[in-house]
Amino acid sequence: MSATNVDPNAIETPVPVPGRIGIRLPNSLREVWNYVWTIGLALVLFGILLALLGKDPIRAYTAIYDGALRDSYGWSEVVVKMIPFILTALAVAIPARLGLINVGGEGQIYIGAVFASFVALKFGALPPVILIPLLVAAGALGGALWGGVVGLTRAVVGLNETISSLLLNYLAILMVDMLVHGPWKDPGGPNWAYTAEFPVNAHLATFGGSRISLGIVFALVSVAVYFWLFRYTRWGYKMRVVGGNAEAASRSGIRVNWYVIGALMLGAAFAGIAGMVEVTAIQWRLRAGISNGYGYIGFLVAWLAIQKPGRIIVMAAIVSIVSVGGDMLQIGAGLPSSTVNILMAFILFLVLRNQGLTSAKETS
Amino acid sequence: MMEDFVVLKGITKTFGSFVANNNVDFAVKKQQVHALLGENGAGKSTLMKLLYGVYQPDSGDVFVDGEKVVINSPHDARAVGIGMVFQSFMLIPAFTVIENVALSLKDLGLTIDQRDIEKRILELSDKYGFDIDPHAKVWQLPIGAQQKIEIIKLVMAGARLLIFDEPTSVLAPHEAESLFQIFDSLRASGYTIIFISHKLNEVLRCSDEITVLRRGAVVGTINRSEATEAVLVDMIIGEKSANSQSYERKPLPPPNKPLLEMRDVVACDDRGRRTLDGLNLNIFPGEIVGIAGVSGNGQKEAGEVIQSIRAVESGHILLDGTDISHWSILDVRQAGVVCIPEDPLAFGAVPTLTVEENLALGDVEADSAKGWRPVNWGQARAKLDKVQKEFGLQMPRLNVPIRALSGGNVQRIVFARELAAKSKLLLAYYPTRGTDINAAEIIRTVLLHYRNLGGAILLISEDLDELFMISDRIVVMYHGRNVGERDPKTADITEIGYLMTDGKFSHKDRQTVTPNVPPMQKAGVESVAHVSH
Repeated sequence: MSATNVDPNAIETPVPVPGRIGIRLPNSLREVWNYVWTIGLALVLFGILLALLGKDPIRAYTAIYDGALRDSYGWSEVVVKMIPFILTALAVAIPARLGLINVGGEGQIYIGAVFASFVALKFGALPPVILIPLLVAAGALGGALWGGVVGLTRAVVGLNETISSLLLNYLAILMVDMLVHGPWKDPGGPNWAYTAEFPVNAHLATFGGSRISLGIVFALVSVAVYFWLFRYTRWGYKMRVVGGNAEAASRSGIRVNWYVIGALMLGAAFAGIAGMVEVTAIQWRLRAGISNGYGYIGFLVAWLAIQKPGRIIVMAAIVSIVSVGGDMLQIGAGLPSSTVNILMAFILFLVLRNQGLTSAKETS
Repeated sequence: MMEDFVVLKGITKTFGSFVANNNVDFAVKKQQVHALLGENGAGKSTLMKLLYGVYQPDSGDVFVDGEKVVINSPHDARAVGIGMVFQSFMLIPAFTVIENVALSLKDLGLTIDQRDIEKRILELSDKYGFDIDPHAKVWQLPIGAQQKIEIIKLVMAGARLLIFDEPTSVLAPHEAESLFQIFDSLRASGYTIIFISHKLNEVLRCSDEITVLRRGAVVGTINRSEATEAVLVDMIIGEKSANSQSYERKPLPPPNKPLLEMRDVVACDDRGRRTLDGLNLNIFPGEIVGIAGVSGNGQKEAGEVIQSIRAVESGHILLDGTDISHWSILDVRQAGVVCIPEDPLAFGAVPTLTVEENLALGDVEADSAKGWRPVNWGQARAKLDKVQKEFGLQMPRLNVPIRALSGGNVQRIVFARELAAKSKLLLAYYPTRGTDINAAEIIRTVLLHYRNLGGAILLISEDLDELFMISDRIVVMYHGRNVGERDPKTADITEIGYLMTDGKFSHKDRQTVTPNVPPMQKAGVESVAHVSH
């Protein structure tokens, strides 16, 4: 047959061949090095900016270091903040694998917190062995429902998921405000906008004397679930197909809309667990403004990590260090604590630029 | 002796280690239609993009009108009177014809005199028989008309040499013919044309001189008068090719129940136009049914309603006697309908996933497994091996993203995957469009092999030669209906041509109507002849 005339290995674009040990190691080392120099450059640029403002950059970095890394308290605070960052990063990363931009992590935290608070206030007498799983389930359910609204409107009427998820954030925040100012307001409290303290059975266990709760376990398990789902399962494979070419997915019989709704709900469920951890481990009650922008920081983490599970943990840690340390800037260096957001922005832009260059090289 | 308009001397162009053009000498005489012929990847498009300034040569010289020039950009090329019409047009769909033409004008002032441009468009339109409404928005126009706008743009911008990159690949046969007539009149008005193609009959139809490229080098340039199909095939392939007409063919199985029945099927296209208007069609096991028709008469939609990609408004589709008209895409697939899409990379593959991952796409048997179970890559590979052995298809490496492969290889992978699935009916949408002669032959052989194994094929193709070559039955579609069925062994190609363009055929037509002026009255008489076996 004349098939032999054609070279079946003819490849038009040269691509790096994965799977060869000799290449793989330098590649991963180079990636680490890329992150290191990029973040280093961000630190230098931020330092220059501080110097231009007449502040001592060395003192500022010392303050960050003292706040986040000098002692075990700082370290534990870093881990405490990593929990919502990791979980909300998953809420962004999972839909992103299908090409969906979910910015609704913030609202999904709030609704997860509302559902968990309901369980905590209503069934607080149950033993923790039953109550804690129930709380996790409630938080996940709340988040998933909120994400499901985004998925449904996208699948049924074609509403853009970025816009709907963003708008739903405000709705969620206002709903919590309404609850804590109205029906759920602590009847015995000093007229502040929060619920009664949860019964002690609904307090999430912490490790040792630290504030690190069981939540870090939930977060790490969630990352493992995410990894397993996309790496090994048929569902994950189909989600990658939908993300890579929705038209081909649909034509090969994949029900694209179900996967769109499913991915948004699953991601949102993880954000809902973040909300549950926040009210049961940190606050012990539902109050207005529980999240403080974690959902948006999770977005940042997900994109810094280009949705890769291992990197989500690493980037969550880095962002958490900057965030915890940033709180010390005010005390240590006489700067407003929000100054650290500028450093965060430098890191984001430089890392994204770096990724842009890498992917441009790959495709050219 | 006519003067040369453009001369290329010793042009070499490499991409990395790949030599696209190797020391090419090429000359085009003024006022001629010069065809550039060769297989996919022979270096035709690259050579022309070098001339048009899209790429720069590694070495070699370009002469225009006897003077050496350096063309660093399309802008430079236009300055010396060279224009190019690409396969995908450079038009803005939301703009009118006038606005699109205005964009390419050199002397465009601060304000645009739409009247003046309109006048000039109409003049050209009259002169060359374009028949274009200058106020129409480009997206409303058929592909053939859009191509004419590209010609108008080049002519009005002062081009004297027009390069066409496979202009007929997007056209229906009658549109291609009208393009060749435009070539004739452009040549008569003093223009020079370079025409890239890999279709022999087109090249023989319209060119004065023919240059054949093979693997980046010139095989030779010959006059039309010396050229025959056999001579050109030898030049292209570089060896005596087997007679492409002789495909091994088992006799049809005895008359049986139809595998697929379409009864009065009505469906609309994406713009809500009724493209299927009561289609009746039967497909029997073990036969290839070829659909002929001018593009846009519902051929593609006929396949899409079977696959459930497009909704059936009324009527019924029966597969083995079961009504599948409102089944899901997945259910139809699981019932044994597979497909080779018209654009495999867009509709049948995921560019970012590896070849192996793409092979598991739409695997019907594996799909019944639970969602949390891992994908069985070993099984996907084993199926592929079987297909490779059975059909003689060769496969590229499995661990690279499919987007890194050439179009031909992507098609081969999608083809193999669909053949590996358990199926009864194969829908083939334009399976050899844009492929070279070798690849087309392989694809046709595989299709016939599938048929010989007892599978049924619905072949949708714009290549009439192909339909005649491998179909057991040709169905002509016109305005969304089946207007006639013919046996390719006995059918007359002119008759099929009339059915395609007019929906009917009588002996009166043969005497009074010339192909250039088809009477466009609605088909009053329907001659739906159900051929039974």
